[in-house]
Amino acid sequence: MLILSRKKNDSIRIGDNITITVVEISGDTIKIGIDAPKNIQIIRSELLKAVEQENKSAASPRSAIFDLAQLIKGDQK
Amino acid sequence: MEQSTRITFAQGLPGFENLRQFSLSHAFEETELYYLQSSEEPDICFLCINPFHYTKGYEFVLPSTVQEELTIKHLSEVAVFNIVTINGGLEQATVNLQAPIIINTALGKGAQVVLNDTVHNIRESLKNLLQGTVAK
Repeated sequence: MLILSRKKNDSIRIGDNITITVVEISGDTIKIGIDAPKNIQIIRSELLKAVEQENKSAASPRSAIFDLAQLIKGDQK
Repeated sequence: MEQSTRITFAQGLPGFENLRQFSLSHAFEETELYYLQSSEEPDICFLCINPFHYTKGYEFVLPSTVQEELTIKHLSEVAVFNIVTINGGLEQATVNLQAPIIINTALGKGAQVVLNDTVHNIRESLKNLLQGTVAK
């Protein structure tokens, strides 16, 4: 991993069209600004990890899911 | 929706990036529950729910990256589902509102979108959703 030291308002350019700027530093939190083309998806890493984990918990054989679907159907009546 | 619709997830789903082909089918006619079944892994199936049928309290802006990826031109060709995690039963079951499944029904293209909004719950109570009490 490339590690660079940056101060407030300093920025980093990635490729031709992505700029990351340190907007604010406060204690152990920094605010970063990201300028990127619209087709670049930006997601907080921990959120993506949480969704991966949740998907793994949710994936089941259809037979196992069927039971809950039945219960929901019954609950709706 | 027809009996079973083939959906291609060009990027897979988070945690299942290698799975690209799924079929979507209605669980029961009288509910808005669906099976999203992997065509490549028979044991991988997701129970999905059409959130808008149950609540008006769920809203999000579809990122332009997704609109582009799925070639979405009209809202009428978009279907939205959320994955249900069973957790052992109806009382414990949760719905992932943070990462909806977006499908272009006209083209059979799908993607699971991780929303950056912090207002959505990744583990919303399914009971709350079914009762329409999901807070805005």
